[in-house]
This record gives sequence, structure tokens and C-alpha cells, in this order.
Amino acid sequence: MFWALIFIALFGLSIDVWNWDSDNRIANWIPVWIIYLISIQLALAYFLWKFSKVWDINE
Amino acid sequence: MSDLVTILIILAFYLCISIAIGIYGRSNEDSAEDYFVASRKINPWVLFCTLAATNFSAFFFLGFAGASYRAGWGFYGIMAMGTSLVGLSILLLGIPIYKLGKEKGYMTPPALIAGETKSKYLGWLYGLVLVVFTLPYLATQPMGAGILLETLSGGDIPYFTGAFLLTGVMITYLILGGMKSSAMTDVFQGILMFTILIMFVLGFFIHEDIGGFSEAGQSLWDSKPEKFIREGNFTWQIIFSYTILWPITVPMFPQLFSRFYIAEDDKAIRTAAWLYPTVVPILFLFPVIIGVYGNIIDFDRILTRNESDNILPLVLTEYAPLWAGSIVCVGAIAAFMSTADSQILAMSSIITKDGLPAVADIKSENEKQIGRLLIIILAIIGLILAYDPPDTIFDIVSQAFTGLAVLFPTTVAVLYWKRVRANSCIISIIAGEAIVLWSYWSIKSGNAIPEWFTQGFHISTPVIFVTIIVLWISTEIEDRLSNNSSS
Repeated sequence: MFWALIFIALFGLSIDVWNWDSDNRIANWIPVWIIYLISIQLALAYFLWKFSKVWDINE
Repeated sequence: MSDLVTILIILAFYLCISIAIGIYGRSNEDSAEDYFVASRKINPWVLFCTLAATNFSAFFFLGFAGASYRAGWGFYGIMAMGTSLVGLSILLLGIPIYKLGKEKGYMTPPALIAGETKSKYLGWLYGLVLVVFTLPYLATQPMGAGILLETLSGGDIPYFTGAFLLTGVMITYLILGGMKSSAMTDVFQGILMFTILIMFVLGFFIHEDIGGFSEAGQSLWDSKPEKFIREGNFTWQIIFSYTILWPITVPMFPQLFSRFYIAEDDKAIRTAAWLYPTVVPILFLFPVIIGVYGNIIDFDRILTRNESDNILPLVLTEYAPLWAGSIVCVGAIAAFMSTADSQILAMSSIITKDGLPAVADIKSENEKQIGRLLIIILAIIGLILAYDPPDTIFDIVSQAFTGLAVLFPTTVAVLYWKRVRANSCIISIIAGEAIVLWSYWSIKSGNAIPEWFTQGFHISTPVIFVTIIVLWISTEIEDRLSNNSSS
């Protein structure tokens, strides 16, 4: 359940509805929301790495 | 040296290396298990490379850039998080599939589904859906090669000649080596395509006419500020739909599903699962950047929807010397080949192991030869479909992916749900595909899919929802009917 909550939370955060019309940019060329989305994905990679070590299909 | 000769020399060099790796990678063993699943001996790093290279295709190289040219940065939102979530699917589906494959000798997706539900009819239906919806996706690979070579050579290499050339080389190393050759060439092609793509993007921005990242950004902001925001290009419902669609549909690709069988142990799958979202966020940036910043280039005309799939080669011809353009072209062709070879091999194994035995007596010693013959036939079908493409690469794969996503509820149920029944799975697949066909014909005949049905989401979301509900309800009904008859 803990892991399900983590992955659902990351999914929800990635949709980023509250920031939909953002036009802020970093160094002129890349939107801030892209950096946010990359961070969410790297967090996903970290939690997946942790999860892959403990998950057992027979549990 | 003429332009055409330069392109051909660089291309020939790459294709020869691919064939050489294919020959080097082939095994001396002479069994169908070795040919179709590489004797289940692929280590974690090769498995990750082959999973990634297989999934990143013409759609990744040309489709992403074309769609980003049209829709701006928002397209990154469409693709990236959903593809990163594929890592979770690799873990949750890959490990049980690997274990069942090793324990019971399954080599193809339909074999597992039919074996676990003890229903050959479900296996046939599952295999049929896989083949039917993989063929259009397969056709986008030679399409990509044809577009790229034709644009780069200024028409000296006609579209269909380029598509034919790629297909011919791919057939050669597939026939020689099967799955092991496919996996080994995937490693080479995967590393090559990403290295070249990254170098090209960096080279584009430091070009004197572009003037660096900041200047290019300001130029785009001044001319087309809408390319930076999602609002107006996509709704949150559409991003939501695609973020759900990718982790559901990608493991249903027969070429991906089959790769779960080839791991040497479950550690290989666990490693591939977390590596996937580690590389996707960065790698997906590059084709999107090319597409988005293609908007600051003046092409003397407005590109049509189909022409915008050419944005990468168009940028190449505008900003890179021919030799450099040819090398990038090789990187893109590596992406097409690493996907197409896996698709063809997966479909060949499905037809050889699951389809033909239903209608003819196939001796096990003949399976390898039949598989090879089917590789040629399937490659020719892919070429025929690519001859006159009806849509953009993105539109073609969207339809194909939705058709494959219908198989996801059945697959999860077979792996995890003890109450699963074959008939319920068959009903849910037929119901899901009926809606996919209805949506396809609605779009083709110019009638929009009703808003009450989609609620603003992409068609794949209600299709998946309906498929799950139908599977659940029909299982309940079947359960009650069998309980009544037994009591």
C-alpha cells in the first residue's frame, strides 16, 4: 500500500493541473514545468529502484 | 565526391557493422528456443539496452520531433512521464512473465495467455490482436527511413528505395541470428542513436546562425510564445490519458513482451525497471527540442502536418554539413531498425509457435526455417503498408497503441487474478477492439467521437475503462452461472 501511494502520488503530481498555463522559462529556452516534470521522473526512478529491491511477487 | 556518394558510403559503413554484429551475435545452438528467446541468457545491461532500443523507434526520432514542431514543449508532457512509468510495468509484469516463461517454457505472449487460462481460443485472439495492431506500427519504421533518406539526399534516394534498403539489411541479420542477433544489434544501435542525437542537438544550438540556447529561446518566445505552454495545445485530460496509456500499452507490444522471456534472471528485469525512468526524462528531451526549435527556422513555406514529420531531416539539411547530416541519419535509422527487427521477430515467433500449429502440423525441427520465411513475408507486408502512408507517424501509432492497450486488463488478470476466466477475457477484448474500430471509422468518416463518451479524454482512456469493466462483470456473471449449475 505504501508503494502504491508513492506511485499514485507521483502520477498525480506529474499531471500538474494547477500550473497548466505557466510560461516561466529558465535561461529563456526551457519551460520551468519541464524541469519540474524531469524531477518527478527522476524521483520515480529512485522509488522504483528502492521498490525493485524489496518487491516479491509471492508476497 | 557527390552528395549521394557521401550519404551512401556512411550508410553502407553503418549497415555493414549491423550485419557483422548480427553474425557475431548468432549462436551455434540450433533450437527454436535459442532462435526466438536467445536461450533465456540475456544479462541486465543488454536487456535494458534492448528494451530501450526496441521501444525507441521512428516514432521517437521523427514522430516526437514532428509532433513537438506542431504542439511545442507540451508534447514532452504527452510522452515523458507515461514512458517513465513503463519501468513500473516492466517490474510488475516482466517478473511474473519471466518466471512463468522459464517454468513452463513459454516463448510468445499468446502461449502464456493460452497456457495459463487453458484456452487456445483466447490465445489465438490475443495473438491476432498483437499481429494486427503491430503491423501498422511496423510500417512506420521503413516510413521513417524513407522520409529521412529522401529529405537528406534532396530526393536522390527516393522514399521507397530508402525504406526498401533498411528492410533488406534487417532481414539479413534477423535470418542469420534471431533474437540474440537482434539483442546484440540493439545494444549497438541504441548507443549509436542516443550519442548521435545528443551531439546533433548540441551542434544545432552552437551553430552561429542559432547563437546558443538563450538566443534561440528568445527568438522562439518572440515569434511563437504558445510553443512554451501546454494551455491551448493540450488539455490536462489528454496528458492524463497518454500518461496512463504508455505504461499500459508498451508492455503489450509483442516485441517488448517477448523480451521478458530472454532475461537470464529476475535481477535483469529489476535492473531494467529502474534504469528505464532514469534515462527517459533526459533522452526524450532531445527530439522534442529539435521539433520545438524547428519553429525558429524559416523554410519559405508553412509545413503541412505530414511534412512536419520531416522536421529533423529538414533542420539537418539546413544546419549540418552533409557528412554530419548523414551520421545523424544513421542514428535515426538505427532507431528504426532496432524496433522493426524486434517487431518482425516477435510476430514471426507468434505465428510460428501459436498460429500455424492451429491449422497445420508443424514439426519442431522446422520451426526455425518457418520463422525465417515469415520474417521475409512480414517485412514485405511492412513495406507494402509503408508505400503510401495515410497519416502522420503519431496518428498511426496512437491508433495502434490503443488497440494493443485493450490486451492489458486480460494480461494483468491472467498474471494476478485467480478468478480469471478465458471467456470473460475474450468478451472484454472483443468489446475493447469494437470500440477501437468504431473510433477509427468515426475519425476516418469525419465524425468526431461523441464528447459524452470521451469526457475530454483521449479515446484510449474510455476504451481501457470499458475493457476493465466488461472483464470484471463478465467474470462475475460466469462465476455465478457456474456456481448455479454446480449447486
